[in-house]
Amino acid sequence: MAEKYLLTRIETPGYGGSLREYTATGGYEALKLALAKKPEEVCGIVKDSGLRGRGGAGFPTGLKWTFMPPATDPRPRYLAVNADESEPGTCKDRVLMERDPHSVVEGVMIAAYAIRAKAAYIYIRGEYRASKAALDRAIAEARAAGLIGKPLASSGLGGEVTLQVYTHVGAGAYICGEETALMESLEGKRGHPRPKPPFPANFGLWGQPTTVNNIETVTNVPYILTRGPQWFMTMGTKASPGNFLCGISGHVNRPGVYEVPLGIKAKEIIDQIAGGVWKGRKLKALIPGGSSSGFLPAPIVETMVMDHDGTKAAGSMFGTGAMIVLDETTCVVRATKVLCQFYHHETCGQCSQCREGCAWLDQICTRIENGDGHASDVTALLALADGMRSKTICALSDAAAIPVQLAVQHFRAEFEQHIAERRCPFGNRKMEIHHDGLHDESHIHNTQSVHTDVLTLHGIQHGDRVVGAARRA
Amino acid sequence: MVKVTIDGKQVEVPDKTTVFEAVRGLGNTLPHYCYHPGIGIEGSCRVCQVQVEGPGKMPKRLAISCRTEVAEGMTIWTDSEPAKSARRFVLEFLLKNHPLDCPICDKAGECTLQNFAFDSGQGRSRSMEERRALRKRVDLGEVILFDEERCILCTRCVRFQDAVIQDPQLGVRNRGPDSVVGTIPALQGQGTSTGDTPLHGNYQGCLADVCPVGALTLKKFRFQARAWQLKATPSVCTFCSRGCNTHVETFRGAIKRIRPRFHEKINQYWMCDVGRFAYDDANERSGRLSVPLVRREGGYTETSYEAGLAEAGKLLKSAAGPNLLAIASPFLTNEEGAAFVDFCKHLGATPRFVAPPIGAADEKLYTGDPCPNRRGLTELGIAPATSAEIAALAKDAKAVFLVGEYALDLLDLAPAADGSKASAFLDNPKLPAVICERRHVARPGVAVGLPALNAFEKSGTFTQCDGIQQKIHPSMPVPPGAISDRETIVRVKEAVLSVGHAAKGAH
Ligand SMILES: Cc1cc2nc3c(=O)[nH]c(=O)nc-3n(C[C@H](O)[C@H](O)[C@H](O)COP(=O)(O)O)c2cc1C
Ligand code: SF4
Ligand code: SF4
Repeated sequence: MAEKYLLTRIETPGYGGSLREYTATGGYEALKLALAKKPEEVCGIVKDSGLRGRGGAGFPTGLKWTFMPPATDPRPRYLAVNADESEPGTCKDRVLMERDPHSVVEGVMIAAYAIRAKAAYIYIRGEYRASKAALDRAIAEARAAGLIGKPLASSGLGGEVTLQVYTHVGAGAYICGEETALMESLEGKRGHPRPKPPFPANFGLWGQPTTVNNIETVTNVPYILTRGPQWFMTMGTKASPGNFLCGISGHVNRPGVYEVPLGIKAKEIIDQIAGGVWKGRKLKALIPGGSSSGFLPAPIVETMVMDHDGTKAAGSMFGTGAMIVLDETTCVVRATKVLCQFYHHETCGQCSQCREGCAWLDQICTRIENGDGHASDVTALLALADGMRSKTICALSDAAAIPVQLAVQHFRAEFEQHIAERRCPFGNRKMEIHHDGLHDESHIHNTQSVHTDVLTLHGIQHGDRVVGAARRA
Repeated sequence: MVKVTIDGKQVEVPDKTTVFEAVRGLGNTLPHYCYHPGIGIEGSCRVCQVQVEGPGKMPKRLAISCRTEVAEGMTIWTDSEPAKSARRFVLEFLLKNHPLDCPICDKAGECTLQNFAFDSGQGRSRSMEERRALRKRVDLGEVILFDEERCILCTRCVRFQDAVIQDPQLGVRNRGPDSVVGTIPALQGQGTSTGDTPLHGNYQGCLADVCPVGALTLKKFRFQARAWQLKATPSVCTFCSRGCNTHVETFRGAIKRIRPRFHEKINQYWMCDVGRFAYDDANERSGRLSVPLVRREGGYTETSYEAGLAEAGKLLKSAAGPNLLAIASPFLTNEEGAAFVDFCKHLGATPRFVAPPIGAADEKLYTGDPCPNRRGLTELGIAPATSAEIAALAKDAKAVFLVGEYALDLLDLAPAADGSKASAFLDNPKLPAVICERRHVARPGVAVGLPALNAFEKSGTFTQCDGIQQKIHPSMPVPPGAISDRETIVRVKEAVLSVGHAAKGAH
């Protein structure tokens, strides 16, 4: 078994995540090491490690930090930590926050120090009450222990730096995970993504230089500092080093959150780590990295490697590394419709293509699934998805279009069969069609309910079972 | 200046110009909804996409032209297939839920959703889905009626209130395709007929101008005319001393709408509701004087201009000198004012114009001064006089010459402390008055009534509050037979001067 670090403590029986337990296992050593260096040196170490963001885009973290203005720039600067975790299928950050909150806090502090931020805001998904409570507890403990809120005596900045770490809960909108929407939301405004440029490193929170990082990303940092970038690169691949938390859900025997090295075969995760496709059935398709990464058919999954290049070569993307497994009895049209419904509900509605397109894709897929499809619908799906991929403010429009494009690309016959037979060949019940503008209150559900729909569709429940699986692993 | 290539053409444009404006400079207006030069750049509708390459190593890519600044060496394609396709798609998405009730939409013909769909869209709709069903007639107060279905969520209206008026009143409710523009929901029982919070302020009419579609429409223009039937005359508003530039739009001889016309220094893209809606009086043709009236036993009789002017001349001649009370309306143009000054000089009278005190200005353009040409007339040497001053002067007057529309209305704008009207001197049969007004004034002192024109019927210049001289152009026909105020003043003067001579020649 490959080396682990992110979940080592969590998987130790009896580990409760308190400050005492954390420091007893080497916690906050990395912070001391970091403070003894100049922020630029910390940046350099993370850059050398090759760590890539785990929030979805896979951007090199150290490089992102260097986009912040030079130390001579007098403006205040901020770190925003993305714990909005709303991408369907994704449930990894919560494991870190709930089970080892101090590792998150330490990562946040080092990242903040590296970019010379004096305040870090952890933006937590509204439904993640347990994550918020665990982090708040950890922050309070760290504050009481003099780690947060006191001048960082040993810091390379001469002991004058005081760092504050705050948590903030969102109200359950997926779009608030997009980094600029997250900042708008933190500022107390509606979570609408901002057009870029200007980029956050120059114009972020309250118009000041800001870096946005994912929870898992920053939690990697303390380990890189204590064990060194060379160690980090021994895991994973050259282009995507390190381990990642793979949240696997859907039709597998042991869904859960597992720590695996980047570059691992997707099949290995499904068959060995997650115990194989359930009920002795065959794999039909895989969503490799969260809903936005779309559907890949079994033959492609067979050889696919789980890292940024491997998923890209398979025609998809690594995303959040959250795998959703679909067995042979799954109706891909229905699964596509469920994802479309999610984006339909979550688009912020600023961009014309995304606002109208998300709804449109959902409506067409629903009609096809219900046996009301037209012969022209499949080409319409492809065309509209294509149209949604012209320039929009954020990537949600692409995220909504990709699953449809991949579903039609790989499972076109299934769409056509629905249309020709005027029914769902899997015998599924009809689904409700969501027309625009006719919504009454009963149609307005939060991210959680749709999210849960997606997971229950694949036989997965959200909640303790997922975390529990991590414990067992 | 930077050099860029637009559709194969090398052009030089100032730094910081947006690609949109650079393209517009070449005479090609790209589709745009959220962008409005007076409101600012938003970048959400995505319909102005073009392809750009550079500067430097930046690859060829789609970009929204409104938010992309030109840079040295940039190449721009507005007509490449990817650019056209991106715009076509955005239009297709915007039209997916559009009600297409163009035949009964007030905006039809000047709707940029229609126009850009015609330019850049596709001929056929792919949509088989039910269209959005929302509220069609949302009452947003006295000025605006809102059709939720037609709204394309460009948020121009929202941002106009936020950024231009700095009085946020509109917003977007809900999210995604459920988004609906509106005012803050009203407290129970406090809203308009549809239960919405009414809009307030003096610039509500501008909302209908900035709305690119027929979502926000003017109640007053509702079903009045098709946009293409309107004849637009460029002119200047005369309802305060700001002098906002306008287009006066008429149909079948009546003003149907007044809209602001861009003037960089004076009003930019805007005008206030006071000026925008002040045309009912001009449309009211009944009771208009088109020939002179003279007092005879038992009432007034119509006469020819010759006879009327001769009578006026006789009457004023007898009172010539400082006791002739000569009063102009502040609505006189500079040309009319010059004729009035000349008149006064020949008759030994002091030129004055009715100048009520300046009222409260609003938050933006409206100056509160009801005298559109206060500055021009003052500069011509005509003294502004308040109602009280004029009433006092009337006590010693031997005759009155009052010229120009709204002179009487402004004279009586604010009643005196004792409740008396400043124009009470017209009720004195011993003080004969020659009055040049649009409608007949039948009062004991009025001996001769001459027709006056309305500002919408005149040409001439006004000097607005900051000293800019501007031309007004007639948008309405002159009542048949009537002559211009300037000619009336000149001819009254001539009639006075020829009193003695005419008598000689007659016998
Ligand atoms: C629609 C949308 C939703 C997103 N949601 C999340 C999220 O829930 N959590 C997250 O970490 N990143 C999310 N992202 C990615 C962030 O914008 C951003 O890239 C990321 O937080 C950067 O962190 P990293 O560099 O550490 O990966 C989302 C992006 C989009 C377009
Ligand atoms: S792409 Fe979609 S979610 Fe992103 S800003 Fe545009 S409308 Fe909003
Ligand atoms: S009402 Fe008009 S101006 Fe306002 S958002 Fe809708 S289309 Fe734009």
